[in-house]
Amino acid sequence: MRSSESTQPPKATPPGGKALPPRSTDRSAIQVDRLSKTFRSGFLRRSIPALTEVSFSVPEGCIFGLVGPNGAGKTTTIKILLGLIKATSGSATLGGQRVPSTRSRARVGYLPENPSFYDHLQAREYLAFVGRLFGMSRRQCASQADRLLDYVGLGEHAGKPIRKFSKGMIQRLGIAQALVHDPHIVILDEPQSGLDPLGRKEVKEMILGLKSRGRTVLFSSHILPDVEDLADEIAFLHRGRFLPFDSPLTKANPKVLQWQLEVSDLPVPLEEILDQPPLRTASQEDRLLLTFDGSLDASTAVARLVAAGACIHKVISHTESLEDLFVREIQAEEGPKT
Amino acid sequence: MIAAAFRQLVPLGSIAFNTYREAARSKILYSILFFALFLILFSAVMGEVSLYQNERIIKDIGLFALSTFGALMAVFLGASFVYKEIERKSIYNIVSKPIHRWQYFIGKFFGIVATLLVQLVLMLIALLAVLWLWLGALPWVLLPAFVLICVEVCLVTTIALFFSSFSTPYLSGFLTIGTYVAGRSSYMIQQLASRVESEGLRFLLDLADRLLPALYIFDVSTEVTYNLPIPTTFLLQAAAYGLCYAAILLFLGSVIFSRRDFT
Ligand SMILES: Nc1ncnc2c1ncn2[C@@H]1O[C@H](COP(=O)(O)OP(=O)(O)OP(=O)(O)O)[C@@H](O)[C@H]1O
Ligand SMILES: [Mg+2]
Repeated sequence: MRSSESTQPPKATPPGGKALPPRSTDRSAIQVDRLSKTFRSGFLRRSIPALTEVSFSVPEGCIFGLVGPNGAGKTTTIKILLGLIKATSGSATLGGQRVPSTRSRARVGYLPENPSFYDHLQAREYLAFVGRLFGMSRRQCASQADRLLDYVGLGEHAGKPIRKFSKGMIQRLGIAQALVHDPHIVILDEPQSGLDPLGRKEVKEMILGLKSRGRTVLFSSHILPDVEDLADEIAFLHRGRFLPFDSPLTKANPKVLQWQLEVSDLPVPLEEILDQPPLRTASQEDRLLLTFDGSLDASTAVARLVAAGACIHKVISHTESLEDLFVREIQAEEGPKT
Repeated sequence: MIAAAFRQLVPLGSIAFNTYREAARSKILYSILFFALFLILFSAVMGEVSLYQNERIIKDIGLFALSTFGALMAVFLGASFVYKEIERKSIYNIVSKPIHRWQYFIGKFFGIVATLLVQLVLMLIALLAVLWLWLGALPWVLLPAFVLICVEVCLVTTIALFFSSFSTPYLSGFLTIGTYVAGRSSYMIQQLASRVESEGLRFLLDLADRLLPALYIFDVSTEVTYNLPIPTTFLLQAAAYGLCYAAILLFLGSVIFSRRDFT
């Protein structure tokens, strides 16, 4: 559940790169059309369907969140986009270029899931190497490498061999290398995995910063509150299919699960004021915390309490969060657990 | 046109350079190199013991060390380097860049070959130094022999890379060593084929002889031992044969590699 409170505006912007000129939003940066993938596994070539007819499109300048349980097919989708895996059927484009092709990857930054780099190269050398693969000049590579290492907080480890990096430091290096050529489309497979709380927050800010400069971001994540905060659109994968699901998150009119009222100075017992008793009542010093079912009309309850002379300190609505939705959808799909 | 071709070489070159850098900084190779240098020194001691034969023994053992250890390192690096990258997933972040798979594959080849050539040159310097310091002799016949060893090492690297484009490192290491041994002795297959009765068997042996790399042509130890001249035309022909064979295998390996899924 999420309480209806804050999200913070983006602060940091990644180094380098001007904002892209605004484009008509009907152009899609990423287009996926009826993509399917069946893996062949083992000696008998047993077929394992990992993706079934998945279609979606991400408009330019949009943040797109890919969620779903383990093994849902998120990484498979992303790997097909980057040409690491060939789709069994269906097609996809990146920036209007068909996948897989070198052109489709030219303006794309990619952070693999659990990235791994070369043990004996230094962080700075690795970033410069990646820049060269994108066709950047040596000088550009060197200056971008240093700036990005500072940006992801690895400035003082620039000359260290990657073998001596911690898990979170490797993840940070992975983020830096995804941004080295100032890409138009950024694809991040679980960008927050392995990061400390500060790092997670920095990743959120980075994603919002990319959006504010007109970049398109597609990311997968298991940290649902963050997906909810960040994503303009969310797709929900389960066993290789998209679950039909109230996108975009019913943000305008979310389902209310529970109400909470914080009151004091009740002149008479509660039962005499309200027809329906609260689900729970908790007292805190002189105040009462009343929890009601979401289906109950809150304004009537508040009006009656005020009329009776009670003092109301807080009204909190708990709307259904992505996490609740996630659990509900999965349980509905898999049937109730015994 | 030329500029476009050059642009294709930039990523290939930086993959090769970083492969070399990665290999040169890892310690595994030094143990093999150390062992080869030890063998060269040992040959010098052996030469002292067997009177009047010093130069021959040092040359024989030294050249044997060069070609055997060169081939071993080629098998080791060729069979394990690409596979290790797939296993450790560091390849995901390279082939997902705007490069072709063949650029990666051939870049790896050049990186490995550069590493091996540096090791071979170090061994050659050690061998010449031993010969010169011990005996004051500099047998120049070693140089063409060295060139042939370098070509052979290139070829063995591509064989290992070719096998590793579709199989595991142990299997490709095994297959490469098998091919190396068979290729070194494939003149015997020829002789065998001329003697067998059965048509089918002869056909098979003939086919094997044609397909296997004729690695025995790179072995000029007899000429080196007896200080016989190695004709330049032979040298050029052998080198051309080796490099063409390697190019074909690199091409096939790249094609297979391009079709792989990285999961
Ligand atoms: N090489 C493979 N051979 C056979 N099946 C595979 C292979 N790779 C993935 N799969 C299957 O494909 C399905 C999707 O996997 P994928 O890695 O895309 O999941 P995911 O959504 O990224 O999960 P996670 O949240 O755990 O990262 C899984 O059921 C997995 O078992
Ligand atoms: Mg995944």
